[in-house]
Amino acid sequence: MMPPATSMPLPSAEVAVSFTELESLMRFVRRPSAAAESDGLKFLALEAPQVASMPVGRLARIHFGNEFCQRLLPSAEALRAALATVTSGGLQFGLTLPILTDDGIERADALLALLPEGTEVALNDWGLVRRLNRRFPHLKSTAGRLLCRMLKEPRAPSAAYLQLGGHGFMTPGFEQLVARLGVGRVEMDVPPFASLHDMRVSRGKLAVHVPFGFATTGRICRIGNLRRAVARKFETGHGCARECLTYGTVMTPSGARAGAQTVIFQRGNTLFYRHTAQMAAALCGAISAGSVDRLVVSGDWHEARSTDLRA
Amino acid sequence: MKLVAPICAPEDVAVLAAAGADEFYCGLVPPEWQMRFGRSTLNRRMSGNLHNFGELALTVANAHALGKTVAVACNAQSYPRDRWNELLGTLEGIAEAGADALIIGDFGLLATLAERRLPLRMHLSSVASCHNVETAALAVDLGISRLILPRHVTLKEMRRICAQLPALEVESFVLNDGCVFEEGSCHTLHLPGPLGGPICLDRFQYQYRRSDGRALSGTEAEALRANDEVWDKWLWHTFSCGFTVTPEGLPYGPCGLCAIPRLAAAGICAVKIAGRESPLERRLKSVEMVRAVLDRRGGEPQVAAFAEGLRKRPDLCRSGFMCYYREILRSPGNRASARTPKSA
Repeated sequence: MMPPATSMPLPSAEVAVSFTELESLMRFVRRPSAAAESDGLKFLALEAPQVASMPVGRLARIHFGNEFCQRLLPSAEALRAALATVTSGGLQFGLTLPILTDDGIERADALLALLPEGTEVALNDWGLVRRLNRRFPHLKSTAGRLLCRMLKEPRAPSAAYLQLGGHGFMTPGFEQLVARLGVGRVEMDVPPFASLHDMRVSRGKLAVHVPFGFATTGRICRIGNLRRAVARKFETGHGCARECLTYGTVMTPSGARAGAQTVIFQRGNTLFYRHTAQMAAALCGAISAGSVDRLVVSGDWHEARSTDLRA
Repeated sequence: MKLVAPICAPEDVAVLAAAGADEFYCGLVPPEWQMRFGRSTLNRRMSGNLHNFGELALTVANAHALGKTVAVACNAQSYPRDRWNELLGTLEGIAEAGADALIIGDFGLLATLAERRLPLRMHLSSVASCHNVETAALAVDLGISRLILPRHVTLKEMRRICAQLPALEVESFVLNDGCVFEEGSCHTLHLPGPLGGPICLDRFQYQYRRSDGRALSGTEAEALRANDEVWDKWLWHTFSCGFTVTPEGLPYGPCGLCAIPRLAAAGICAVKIAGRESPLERRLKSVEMVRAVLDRRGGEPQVAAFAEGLRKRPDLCRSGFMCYYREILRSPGNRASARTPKSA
């Protein structure tokens, strides 16, 4: 007798939500039934409507830390509080680190020392991957999206502008590097005019950030100089009062480009673009194809708009 | 300390060597690559590139005859998979043409080259975004002989890298061509002007919002406006003071001339003039400026005073907005420092 036919489950992506600020993380995780699948979907519908219709699985993880600025490294106290809150809420915890100077690495070492075995750390500097292997081999390294380089010009009027540069970062060299450094997962952005084939890796697992991609970033922060004396503004290694936690900026093209469709905004030192319907559709296809097994949803430090979790 | 200058043609070597350049770097885009993948995808420059391996071989011969070296920039942030074989073939051609070094911006490519062992030195490009000892050490593991630091690195950070990796040659920027963002993390294009140009110069309208949903107060709006006004001034300085030169042809804009004694003390072995796409006249004047400061004898204040006097625009130096290493203005005895306004 033939066994009863069973249908294979359709591929779906687990959901991680990322936070720069402890306050936002706490508010999100402590909501009733935060870990429930329905709550994850509700969050997505509010914060990332393009993603809400995607084949997403359960809300599984919370990531803490900022990918773009070492001045936003959490304190040890904040990390302890975030870790305790997330794990007591039944969710997995991950730490995210930006490119760091040597001073920043010293501070990051103190944070990494607090993490339990097996914790994922998203690193955005190849040197930090090397360091994690040497000093914290009990932690799992993820190559953050700053390491997955590709053209992401949000102002490009057509795919032709990006075609020559190409989107694919998964070259034989990248494969050799992640193998050499023992990287188990890669995080990437959805580039403008992406196809689902742009979102796949030949080694390890792939997570994709939603609903925003970053276009450019750097050490000189426009808003971070708000309170600095004129003579000290915009110098390398400048300090700040973390103004990026209070202010965001929507950037509107002027003149001939006034009809441009892609929303561009700046948070701190970084320019982002909001995914278009085309990008979301490509991502949806990549999830359905089984290429993407995790979405990392931006929980704060993004567009300052009414659906911001801080509101 | 070596002076590293950009060249665009074999004839540039003699001109710039006579002006005081010690080493050269250039781009090369062979016609086959240009036809299939475009001009800018091999080394991020639309113009100023050598056109074929023959030109490179001649350039190298010219340089070697003068006891100088040539490094070739293959410093895209990354290269798509579909051109990987062509890329490796091009790099082998560069080695066969006799170049002394490759400048590599992609750690993935570096990992591949570490196993290929081409007969030339590897330099890590500023595009690789190396800001710390650990990243530099990884690059050394992968075979580099020289690290070219990104633009936005402080003197203190340089000192630490040089001190902890004393066998590694470290090169830093000294003149021209600023960037607003981190080169290795900027994934945009320099679009044609009607489409906005480079994203850092695009005239966006900025609309600030508070993330807590509250309206901006009048005080906040005014502070933001004032900050934006200074930002625009800083941008103007960063982009060569509106792309201008002195009556003698000396370029304004990003500059680390005052800091040369401090760079040397930090362990920097070479200083780099940016501008592979610049006209020869600009590159020549740049080499002359840097050479004059390198050859200047005296203590740090004397060298700084000499450097500041070259362009005869102390007001531009005083702003600090042209400085690659602005902390130098806070050194005791620096003339510009004595006049730097302390606040708005």
